[in-house]
Amino acid sequence: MMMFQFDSISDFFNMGGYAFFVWASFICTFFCMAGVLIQSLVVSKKIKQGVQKEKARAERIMADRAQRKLKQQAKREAQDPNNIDNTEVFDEPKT
Amino acid sequence: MWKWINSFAKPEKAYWLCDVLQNWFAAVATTSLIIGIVWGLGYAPQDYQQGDSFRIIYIHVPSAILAMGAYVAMAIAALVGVVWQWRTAFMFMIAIAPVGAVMTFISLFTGSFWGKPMWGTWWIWDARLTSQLILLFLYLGVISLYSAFEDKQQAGKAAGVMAMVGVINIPIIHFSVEWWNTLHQGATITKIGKPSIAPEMLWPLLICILGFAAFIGWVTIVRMKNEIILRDLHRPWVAQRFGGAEIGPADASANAQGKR
Repeated sequence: MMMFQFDSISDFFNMGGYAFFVWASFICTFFCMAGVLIQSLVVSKKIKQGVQKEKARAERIMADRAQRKLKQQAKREAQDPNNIDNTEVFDEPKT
Repeated sequence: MWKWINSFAKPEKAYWLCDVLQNWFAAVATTSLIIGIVWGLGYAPQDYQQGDSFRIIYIHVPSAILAMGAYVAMAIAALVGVVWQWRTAFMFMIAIAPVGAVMTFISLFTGSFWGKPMWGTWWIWDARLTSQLILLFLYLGVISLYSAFEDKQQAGKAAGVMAMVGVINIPIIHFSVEWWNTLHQGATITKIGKPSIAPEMLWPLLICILGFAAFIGWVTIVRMKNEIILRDLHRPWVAQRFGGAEIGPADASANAQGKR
């Protein structure tokens, strides 16, 4: 039924004398396809890392802000235990 | 039914669908490309006129056919985007455009490397080759028009109109071998009725076409996912999916207190 069309491996690589054209075509095709695939996957990875970085940054900022708020509150309470309003936090960073 | 289809216009839903389909496309692409290429290169019989150089057919024909197929898919997405205002349709359009461009380039390159030993020339300005080259420029035009706009909805509309107008080129490519005298041979497998190719050569070719199609689908899905996340970067569902919930001040202060 189906059989290998070439007598030997070197015969196979020779491609009946058309080695240059056949292999150049296949290799170029391979690199083009691998290139577009790998580029897409790399971009995908970068985007996901970026999302996580952004999220970590937002978390850090929020935690810091909360810390500062608590400190300010404590400070104010130490100065004037009866004053409970004005818990405004100044100088907030933008997320 | 209509409503169900429309639900996929939502980026979250489209992303979910991409996730489901991605591995299937990848599996089909890898297996059928390997089977098709090995069969075509080693086991398909030699052509009695062209010898072993005809084996380029196993990448030339799939890439050429699917470059046109991808263009039609892109144009349909553009139509959907323009008519129903689907953001996701434009995302699909721009996701498939580079893949189609690569396919067009492959078909031109392999065609050139097949033309040299068979016709004695790398390139000739005849109808089939020129119209395929125009297809490449149409792809590049759509990509660059899209990237030229800052507002991506506007960009989608502009590039979409170009994609739709360019569809006229597809029948021109297909019938160019009949309408004009050309070096390029006529249609072999897309003829009505019996294809004029031996079955031992046809089967690996069909498998290769399937593999290329699945490959295009695979890469397009990956790119589509990228596009969806990039465009929806600051929407809550992206943060939820890839980095936990968006942290509000209340949660943060709770965390900070917990740390103390």
